Amino acid sequence: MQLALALRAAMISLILFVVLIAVWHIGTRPIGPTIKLDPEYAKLMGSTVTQGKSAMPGPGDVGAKIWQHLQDPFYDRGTNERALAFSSSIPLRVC
Amino acid sequence: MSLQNSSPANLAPSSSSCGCGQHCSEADRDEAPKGEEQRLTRVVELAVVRAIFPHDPTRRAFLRKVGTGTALAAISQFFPLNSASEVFAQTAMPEKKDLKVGFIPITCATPIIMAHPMGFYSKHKINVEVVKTAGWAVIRDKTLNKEYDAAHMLSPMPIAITLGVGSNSIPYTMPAVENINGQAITLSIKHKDKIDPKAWKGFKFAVPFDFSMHNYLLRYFLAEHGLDPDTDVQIRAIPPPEMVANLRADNIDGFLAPDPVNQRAVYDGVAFIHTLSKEIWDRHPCCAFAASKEFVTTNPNTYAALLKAIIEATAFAAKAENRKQIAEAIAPTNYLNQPVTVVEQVLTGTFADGLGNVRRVPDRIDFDPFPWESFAVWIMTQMKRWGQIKGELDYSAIAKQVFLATDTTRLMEEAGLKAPKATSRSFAVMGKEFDPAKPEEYVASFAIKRAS
Repeated sequence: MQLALALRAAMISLILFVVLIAVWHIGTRPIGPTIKLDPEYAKLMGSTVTQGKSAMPGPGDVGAKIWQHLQDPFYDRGTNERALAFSSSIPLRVC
Repeated sequence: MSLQNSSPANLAPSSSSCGCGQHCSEADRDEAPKGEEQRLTRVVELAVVRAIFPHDPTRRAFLRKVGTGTALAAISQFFPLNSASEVFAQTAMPEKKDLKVGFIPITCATPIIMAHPMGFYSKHKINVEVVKTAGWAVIRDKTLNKEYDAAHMLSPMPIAITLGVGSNSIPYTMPAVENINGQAITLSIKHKDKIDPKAWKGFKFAVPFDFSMHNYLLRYFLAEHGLDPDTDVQIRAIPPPEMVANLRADNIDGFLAPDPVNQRAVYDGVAFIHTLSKEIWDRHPCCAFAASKEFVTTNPNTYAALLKAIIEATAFAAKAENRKQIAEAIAPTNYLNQPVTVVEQVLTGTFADGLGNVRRVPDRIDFDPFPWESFAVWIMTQMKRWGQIKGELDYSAIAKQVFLATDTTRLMEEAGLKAPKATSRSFAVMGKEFDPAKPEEYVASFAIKRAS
């Protein structure tokens, strides 16, 4: 019954993963504007204050960002803005 | 301008009738050298004529009689003016074209950062890579071990490094102040009812570094309100990029930080701005452009080109109408990595204060490169006051050595800024007058200080 055991282990991992993502998503849902703001002031403030957006990004935002980085792993827009390939390769460099 | 009148002292005559204000007459402006090569040729010609006729009245009489064109033609019979100009132009080229300048992603470094996307460095034929750095201790260490050729530093840092406080003693120079004003005391939004500083007993504050204007200004402010900065509150050093997160996580109750950290904390809804640093000391220096004495002496042309680029950038940033454009240039990920509106609020001075008000303070941050020696003396008095340095100190000698005003004066004038004649002046901090000629008395005059 090895297969059944492996299958059950995999199922539990999957369920735990889904529960984690669900909790994460619920915890970072936008709550809507909390206080009424003067429009000129609101223009100068971030979406956390004006729309109640969560300060911590939700799973959707993180997933989108990961996908964006994976799609273009070699961009070089300057010394301080380089793609994954440059920063991830640092530990692999021999010289 | 004609050779008779040109000398460094009267390069910008006060009674100029030319449109741009730098020449004696329209005719002189048409004659004036256009471009760096022509300027260098003119310098060589001037030097040769002066060497032949060192006595001013004789030289002027001669040139008036003969005319400068004829004089130069005659001289070039005996002296190879063209080759001399070429050789001179060669020696004026930067020795080292590829430079690394470290910076911290705060608006204090605006001239250093904006010179990169806005072309000030490339205009002076140097290829400068501006490298974002994690914190002040890292920038100091990387500059000391020469990974960076020059760096954005806090004004007290070159003094501390020269004196050997907190690192090895290596002579450093600070030829240009990057910004004046541009910080604020910001408190967590949960303290919005604690406006009176007397209610801040037991608070934990953050400053970017122990040798920073922020540390000295915060301590001065607290001491003026009767709080002892070492026993009544805690002050810790946190790198600016980590300050907002620490505030949000309740590790600290507030900070005196460089912008845009304050504005970003307000933007994220976690803090409010309590006092702008200009309300503590208007036109105080904050950050600086610093280079080791070794770099200045072994690479004089590179240093001159770098300093000129930065001073021109400072002059550009000093004008209010350019601020919006600068905010858009330095906000991207490669530089400050902030939303454009946050940087714009800092640079234009129209900002949200975190308590529901929109404030308009146009000189919330300003740019003036002149390194007043009196600033250095004030910094040293505060270092003495809080026990960072002990014992006798030659204030004015160190101020003169580190805050180098010689090249800066000339470059400021070339960039169109008014450079002051004196290098020292008195000013007031929170209403108390400071006389740079009497530093020891100033230190002794404070009620709250560390025993020396």
